[in-house]
Amino acid sequence: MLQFIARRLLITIPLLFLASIITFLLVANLGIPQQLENAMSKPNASPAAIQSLRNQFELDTPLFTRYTHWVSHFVRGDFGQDGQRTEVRGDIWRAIQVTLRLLVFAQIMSVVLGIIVGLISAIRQYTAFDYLTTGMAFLFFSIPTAVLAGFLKVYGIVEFNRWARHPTISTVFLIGMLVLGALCGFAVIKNRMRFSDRREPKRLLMGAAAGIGFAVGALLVFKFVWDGNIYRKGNPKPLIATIGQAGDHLPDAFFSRMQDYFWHLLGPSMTLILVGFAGYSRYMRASMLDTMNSDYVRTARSKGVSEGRVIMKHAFRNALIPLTTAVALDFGALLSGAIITERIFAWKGMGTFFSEALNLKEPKPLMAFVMITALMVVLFNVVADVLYARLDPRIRLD
Amino acid sequence: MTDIIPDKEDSLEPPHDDREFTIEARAQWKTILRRFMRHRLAVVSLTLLVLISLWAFLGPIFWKYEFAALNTKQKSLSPSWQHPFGTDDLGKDGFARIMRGTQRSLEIALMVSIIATTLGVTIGAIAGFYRGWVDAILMRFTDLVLVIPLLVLVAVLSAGVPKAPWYTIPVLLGLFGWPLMARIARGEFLSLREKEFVEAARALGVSNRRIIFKHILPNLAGPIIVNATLTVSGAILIETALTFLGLGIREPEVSLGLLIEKGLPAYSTRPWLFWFPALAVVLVSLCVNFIGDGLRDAFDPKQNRVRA
Repeated sequence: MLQFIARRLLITIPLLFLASIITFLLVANLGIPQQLENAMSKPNASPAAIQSLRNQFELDTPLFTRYTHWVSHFVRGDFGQDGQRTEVRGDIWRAIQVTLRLLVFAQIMSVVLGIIVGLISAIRQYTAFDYLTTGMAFLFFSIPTAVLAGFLKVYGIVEFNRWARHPTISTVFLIGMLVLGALCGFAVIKNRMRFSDRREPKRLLMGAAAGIGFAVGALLVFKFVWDGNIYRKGNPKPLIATIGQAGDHLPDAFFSRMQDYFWHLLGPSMTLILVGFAGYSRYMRASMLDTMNSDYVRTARSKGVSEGRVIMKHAFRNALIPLTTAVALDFGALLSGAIITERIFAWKGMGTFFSEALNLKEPKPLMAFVMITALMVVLFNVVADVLYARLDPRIRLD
Repeated sequence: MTDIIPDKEDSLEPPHDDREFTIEARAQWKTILRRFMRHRLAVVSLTLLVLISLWAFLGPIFWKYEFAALNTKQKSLSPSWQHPFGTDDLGKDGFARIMRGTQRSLEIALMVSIIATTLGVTIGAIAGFYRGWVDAILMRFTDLVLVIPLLVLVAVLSAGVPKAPWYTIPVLLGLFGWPLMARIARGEFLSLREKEFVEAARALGVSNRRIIFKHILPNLAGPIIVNATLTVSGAILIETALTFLGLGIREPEVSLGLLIEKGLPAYSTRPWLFWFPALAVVLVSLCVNFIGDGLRDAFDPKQNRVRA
């Protein structure tokens, strides 16, 4: 196994090398940087200033020398300077920290949510729960990230903040909640979710519990917001942030700093979670249905293995194999989602870093961004391979 | 005895003329079609998608406004009978623009899906079937394409061609969007080539090409078609994302992504500019996804349960 990982990692070196050449060509293809173009378009542009900019961007050296110069610095951890002569490394490091906060949180939440929901909807196929979650998954799978993020921000968070300033529950809302709770309980009582198989009283009890749980949940949300409001009395700041990745004046205390991060994280991560959850739950459901129909599950059942054990030990573990690969390979898509989301929520992360660099046609920041992204993707590929081999003993490593 | 013989002769008459039913072998595609028709949501989606396509492709011929026509007297109108989807700040008619945008988005999505699926299946099938060094080279190539996220790659590429016609975007997306399909096809081929029916075919002396196309590939119809439809909806979404970053379709050409990008900043003053294109994207992409789901159910020979 160690040998396999080592070999897999060694293969990535020429891969990254090739990718760097291709990217370098693509970036060179972008043309002259915006800064130089601006300088040249000035009516009284001095040739000396233009020449110094040309030297700074190494435009007069041949492509090959430029590449070797860049690569020899890059492998030593020197990412070069951008047009303003600031070090790219510091900039991109700050951007990575910000984006990783979003990605890790959103990814963990969406994978866990996707696995749980996919598992339940596969076991309880064609129940109300299955239809509900499938419908939701399809909806979020079909919404462009920009639309979802914009919608959440404009019609979700801004409206919620407006409400949270003076949190009151209107009669219409209360009735709606009660109806929803009743429906929830009713569905359980009529056994639409097939939570229990036989016993009537248990079902009634669960129905009541679901209804009460719903009501208590709604009240808790209300209480939470109410408390937040008291805590913030005389503070004009909205409860859930829609702009930026952290407050302007970050408190030093660990707990309140985390709180600040959380309120900023909520909007963008919700976007990514919904999109990710949609994909993963569908994936999980499909592969779970596949394994549940397989011969070894039938064998296990015919041996008299209990249903819970069949599901968890025989079907579930095998159903995770395609999912792990999908999750590990999904990093690129996740980052793309983050680029859009960051733009809408005005986060200063990797996405903003990238689009700014691309707009200004800055070669060094662009190269740094693409190479770091590539490195992460490659590492996740290795992780996917290793996990695949670990989970499925039929896969041959050589 | 004598009266039994004519009876016997009667019963010996060939029965096929007066039988009440006929037995007919059902072709595989008929079974698939029947299964697909049973998936009501997919059929509804297909109908809806056909209607949307007809509207998007034929609508502009009959509609009174051009999608690019400016009308300074009718700026920023809210939806009315005159302009069902309102007008934007330059007086362009929203209805005509969304028709045109839907048309372009559908064309882009189809192009991406066809290019990516063809490339992906071919590469994946060769890699998975022949294994060894062919597999190694092709998969490293796939890794190379996968190394840079599609959105980033196409963004950098398209920023390098400032005055590109609209079809460069789908061609670029298709040319770099195949790795997932290739990986799926390869995975299926890797496991299917070890199956008994392939061994049997090989024992009979069937050629490699025939095994790939006739024995293994039909088993992949499900994954391929499902993934191709997912690529269609994915292409619509990624086109939206690219255009949202200002790197995809550019004015005066119109796509749904462009309309959303233009509409989002105006959400509070002219919400119809955001709502209608967003609705169109979600509707088209939902329909495509539901059709894909229906196809998956139809193609899966293991699945016999009737949908409620």
